[in-house]
Amino acid sequence: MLSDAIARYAPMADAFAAGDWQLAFHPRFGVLFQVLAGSFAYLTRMPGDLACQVVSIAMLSFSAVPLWFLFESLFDRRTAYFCVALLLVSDDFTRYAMDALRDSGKCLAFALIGLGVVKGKAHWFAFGAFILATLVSYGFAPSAVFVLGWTVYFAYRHEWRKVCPVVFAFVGATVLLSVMVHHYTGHYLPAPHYINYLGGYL
Amino acid sequence: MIAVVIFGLLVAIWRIATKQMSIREGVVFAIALAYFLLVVFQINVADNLLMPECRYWIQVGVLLMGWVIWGVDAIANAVMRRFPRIKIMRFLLVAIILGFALNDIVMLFRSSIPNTRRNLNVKACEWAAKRIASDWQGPCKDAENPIAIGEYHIPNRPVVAAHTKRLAYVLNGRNERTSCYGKIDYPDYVFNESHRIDWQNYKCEYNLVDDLELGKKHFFLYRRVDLNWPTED
Repeated sequence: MLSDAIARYAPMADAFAAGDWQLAFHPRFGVLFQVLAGSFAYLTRMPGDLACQVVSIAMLSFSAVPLWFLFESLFDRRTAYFCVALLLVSDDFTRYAMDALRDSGKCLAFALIGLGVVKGKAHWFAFGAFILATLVSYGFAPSAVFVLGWTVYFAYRHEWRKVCPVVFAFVGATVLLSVMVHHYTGHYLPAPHYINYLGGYL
Repeated sequence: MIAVVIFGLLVAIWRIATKQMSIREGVVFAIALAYFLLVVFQINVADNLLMPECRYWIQVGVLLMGWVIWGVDAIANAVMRRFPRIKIMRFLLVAIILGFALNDIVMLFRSSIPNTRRNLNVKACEWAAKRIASDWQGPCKDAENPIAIGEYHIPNRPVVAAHTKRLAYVLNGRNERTSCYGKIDYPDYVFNESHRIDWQNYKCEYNLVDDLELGKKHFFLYRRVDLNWPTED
C-alpha cells in the first residue's frame, strides 16, 4: 500500500468511523473518499486501510459498466468488451486500486462524464462531475469547466431539464467543499490552492 | 499504461487528421485533453512542478481506451490484408490483454513470495510494532493539534520514523513530519537499517532499544533519550 494511503486516507477513514470530524477531513483531500471509506469502516468495523482499499477497488470495478456503454455507443460492442478488459487488467489502474488510492475514483468519474456526454444523459454527467469535484482538489477546476460547457450548450438549446441536475450537483459539491475548507482555513473556497489568488475575496 | 495512453492519443489524432472522428468522439477526446491540461496547469502553478506524477492524470486514459483498441484493430486488419493467413488480429488483442493480466497476477502474488526485500520489511515492521507497543508508556495523543494546510497531521503518539509508514498506523501513532507547522516533530522511535538512518536530521539523542537480523538485513530500533523510560531488556 502506498504511503499516501497509510499516512492519510486510512487515519481519515478511521477518524470518520469514530465520529472525529476534525481529523476525518483536510482541505487538501476533498470529501468523497473519506466519507465512503469512513462509512464503510463504520458499517463493517473494518480498519481504515482495508476500507480504503475496498472503496478504491469498488470504484474501479464500477467504472467498467459506464465505460462499456460509452464505447459501445462510440464504436461497437466488441471494442467495448476489449476496453473493459483493458481497464480491469491494466497495471496502473489496478495498482492504484490495490494501493487504496483515491485516484481510481477518477476512472469512474470520467466514464460517467463520457457516458453522459455521448448519450446526452444529464444524471450520469452530473454524477461524474460531482465525483470528480469532490474526490481530489485538482479535480474541481476541470469539473467546473465541463459543467460550464454542458450548461452553456444545453441552456442555448433551452433544454433546462438537462441543465438543472448538473448545476445542482456542481453547486452541491462546491458548497460541501467550501464549508469544509472554511472550517480549516477561514476561506470559502473549494480547495486551498485558490487561497493565494482568491483568498482576499472569499 | 503511459504507452497505452500515448498510443490512444496518436490514434485519436490520426482519426481527426483523416476526418474519421465523429463529433461525439471529438467531445470525449476534448474532455480527456482538457482534464490533462488543467491538472498540469494547476499543479504547475500551485506546486511549481513542470509535470505532475502520472497518477494525477493517468486515469483520463480510460477515455482513450476506445482509440487504443480501434488502433490495434486497424493495424491488425492492415497486417491481415498483407498476410491473409495470419490470424494476427485476435492474437494481438488477446496477447496485449493477457500481458497486462499476467503483470497484475505477478504483482498480486509477489507479496506471498518469502524473503523478498518487501516481505522482509513487512516482517521487520511487525516485529518493531510489537516491540514499540510493549515499550511505549507515553500519552496516546498530543494535547494540541495545530492544523497545517500543507499536510494532513494527526496528534497520535508515538511519533515514528521508519522505512515504512505502516508501522505508525499499526501502532495507532503517527509518522514523523519535519517542520509541518513551523515546529519540528522529532520522532519518539527511529526504526530502519542503520546505514539508512540519517542522524543529521535529528537534533535530539537516541538510544538503541533492540535490533533484528532478517536474512541479509539488520534492522535497528532506537528511542529518544529524553523520554526517560527504562528499557525492558
